[in-house]
Amino acid sequence: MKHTAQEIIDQYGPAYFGRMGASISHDIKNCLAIMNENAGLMSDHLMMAQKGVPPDIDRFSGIVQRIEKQITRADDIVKSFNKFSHSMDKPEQQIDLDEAVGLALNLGARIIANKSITVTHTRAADKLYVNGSFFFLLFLIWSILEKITENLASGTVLNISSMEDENKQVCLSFQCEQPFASDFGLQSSGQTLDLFQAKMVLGDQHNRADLIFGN
Amino acid sequence: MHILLVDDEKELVSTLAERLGYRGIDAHWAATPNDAISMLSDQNYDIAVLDVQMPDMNGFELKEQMEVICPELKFIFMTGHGSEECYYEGCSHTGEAFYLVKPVEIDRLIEKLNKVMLDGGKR
Repeated sequence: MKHTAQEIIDQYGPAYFGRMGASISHDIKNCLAIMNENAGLMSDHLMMAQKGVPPDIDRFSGIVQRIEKQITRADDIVKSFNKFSHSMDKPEQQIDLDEAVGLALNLGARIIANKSITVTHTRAADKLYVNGSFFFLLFLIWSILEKITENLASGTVLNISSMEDENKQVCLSFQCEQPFASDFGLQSSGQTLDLFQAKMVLGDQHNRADLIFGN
Repeated sequence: MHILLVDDEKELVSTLAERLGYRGIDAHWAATPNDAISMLSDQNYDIAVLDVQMPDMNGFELKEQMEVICPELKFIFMTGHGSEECYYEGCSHTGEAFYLVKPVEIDRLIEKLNKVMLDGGKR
């Protein structure tokens, strides 16, 4: 049974959006906490200076650099979240596949890091595009990634690479050294695959899964 | 008071440890749960302040391992998560009084440290 985009967004969209939002808010809070401590440290040093301890200019400079670094980090996180929030603006658009992979990884970075799994991203030499909903593509990539990493051992490296296969079809390949536990029976992925006329092909060794677009 | 701060955000715990030091509290830090376990094997601490969400193992799992090494150790959790679910999970492990949401005000942390020392780590 085919599902409409609206049906899938109603069923799975809020959960995905909420999960990413929670993860991102956690990261932003960490940035704020580091800025807070460094501002506090600067205040501590100023109080010591007022009591006659000579101020250490290099130390102040280091504190300022740490705060600036966290501002940049927080800005990157908010930019990603903003892009994510606008991913539902258009029901269909031309999407840069590597941009979507990069954004999906940025959004879920903390969740992946908490699994102690490293995900690398190999971009295609030329830009590859798929047509459809940007939000659903992010959801599809994340669903596959989450399913693949579900039972992977700590320290595993997973690579995602975009390419054109031998039939000139745009493809995202998920590969790692050890087999995936999942056979991709994920219902939500299956429904979302239909929206992109895509299919999942699992390698014989179960350590490679190709997401092939546009049958 | 000997404190061990554990958080994968190294710049947070290192700065916090320095600031506690200026206030007369001997605070050490670790950026991974494994480092924290090693440090606990080498030195005695009164209280461990643990981040909830960390790679490899979460703060509650780390607490269980640390308690095996040092049954007398007391705990405070701090988290950037701040969700209700996380909040109640924190309560069930350590008591409502010993849970802090980031960003943590240092005076509030010291207040909690003193309270944990007085109450013996139990609510």
